[in-house]
Amino acid sequence: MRPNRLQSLTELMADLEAGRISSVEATEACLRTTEAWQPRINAFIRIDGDKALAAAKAADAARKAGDRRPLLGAPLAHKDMFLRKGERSSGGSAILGDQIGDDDATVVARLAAAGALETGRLNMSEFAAGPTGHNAHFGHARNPWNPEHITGGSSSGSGAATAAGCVYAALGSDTGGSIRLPAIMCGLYGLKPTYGRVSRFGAMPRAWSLDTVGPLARSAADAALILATIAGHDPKDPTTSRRPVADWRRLIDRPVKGLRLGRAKGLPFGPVDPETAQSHERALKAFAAMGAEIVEVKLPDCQPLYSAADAISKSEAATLHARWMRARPVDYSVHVYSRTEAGFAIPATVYLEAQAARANVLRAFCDRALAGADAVLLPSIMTPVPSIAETDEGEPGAIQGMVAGITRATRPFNYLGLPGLAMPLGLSSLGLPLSCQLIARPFAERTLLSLGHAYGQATGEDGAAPPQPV
Amino acid sequence: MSKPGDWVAAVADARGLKMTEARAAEVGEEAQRIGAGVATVAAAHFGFYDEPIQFLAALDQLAEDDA
Repeated sequence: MRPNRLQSLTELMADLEAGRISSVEATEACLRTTEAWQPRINAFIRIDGDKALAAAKAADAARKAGDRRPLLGAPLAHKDMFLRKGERSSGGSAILGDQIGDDDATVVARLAAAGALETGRLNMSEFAAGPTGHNAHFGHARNPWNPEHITGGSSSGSGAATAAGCVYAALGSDTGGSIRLPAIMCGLYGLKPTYGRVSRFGAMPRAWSLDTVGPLARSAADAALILATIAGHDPKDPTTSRRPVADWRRLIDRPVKGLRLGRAKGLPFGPVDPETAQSHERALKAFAAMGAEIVEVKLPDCQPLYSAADAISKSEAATLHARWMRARPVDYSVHVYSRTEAGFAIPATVYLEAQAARANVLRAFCDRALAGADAVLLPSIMTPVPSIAETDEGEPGAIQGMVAGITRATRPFNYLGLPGLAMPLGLSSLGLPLSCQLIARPFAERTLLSLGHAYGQATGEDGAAPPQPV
Repeated sequence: MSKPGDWVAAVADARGLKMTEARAAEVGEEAQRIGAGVATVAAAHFGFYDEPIQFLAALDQLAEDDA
């Protein structure tokens, strides 16, 4: 039986524009949904109902006065790691909540300037450092499709809240898979943009050479709408590209017919769960039926790319956390503390070797693996969505192995800086989301989103609603 | 010959971190494993590396034409 469907953000904006619904009505519905789901999935760290309704009322008044901003009155919420002037953001930690922001993060400022409102702050892995959604301080986020299973992380609340219908979309961050993993585990689209496409100013860092910010959404068009709003050069983040950003409609309009979609030869990340592998074959057939040319692609050994990303991630995280690890070690969970310790033992030359090789490795990957394909369809996780119990490791050595197993297929692309779109491929026999990720050349977000949009339109699977809480 | 854990414990101590001997050995092995993995990445050429500038330039040069 096909699950019920949740409205998408782009559909809501069309309804708001046509006067079929008000922002107050949409926001009230989101808050009711949140009230029903929150005890079950723990997606929110904080719910700001009154503030959201006041913003919705103001948005409705502005619309009546002729305001036509692209996200006017849209109820969103974001991973609790973006600074706001005069407000606290926890970073999912027991440490950052004491600090008051002295500026607004560029991404939240751009969403606010486009008219979006926020219904609260979303749960996340502590310091954005975990692929499961475990959080010792705020409680684990739980998967709306089955609360015994993980949401994926570190943008855990962003995945859970968007999949459950508590919000229309959410921002997350991705240093090793933290947008893509919760997206695929919760049945959503998650776009990790090209490194430099979206400003990180005011976003809590995990590893500044790898961090990216992007949307989790119920359709590729929704992800395009958010990306078009937040992307583009920002003088406050000098790593941002000056390349122009297309309108969101253009971001999904590239015809699939004629695109070359790569199928990886062999098993570049090791064996894949059979149901996931079958879903990839179905997706490739669907793309072929839409006119895409399916081509064989040979990926390089991705394990060295994983190691290089690991060296950079751990070294930069250790640099960022050294003062608190010295002064406040008990305020860290064993998960985060133990995963950061190795950064102190990685020689500077290893870190710099990984950095110095990066541009050449990227060139080689694009020249070989992506020379004959516009995008490659790859697994995003090798197993079915794990349960919380299966990933509830307490020993540092076991934590490391568990994390490496979950992020094996995602982390290499943070090292390469390439864009990746996690996309849902229906449900498994256990009722949990199946998925893949599409990877493409730098700044090829349009190709990725167009493929995702076409697939969603063809299958009608976008926005599937998990069974409602009782 | 000293074990990886020995110097890791010393590094941790110098940085003001508490680490048991057993944990230092684990961390040392993890760092060695990461270092060995990085050693198999294509070696950097002899030259200047002003990261992130050169990596950002590579992203731009390799960008899709019709982005």
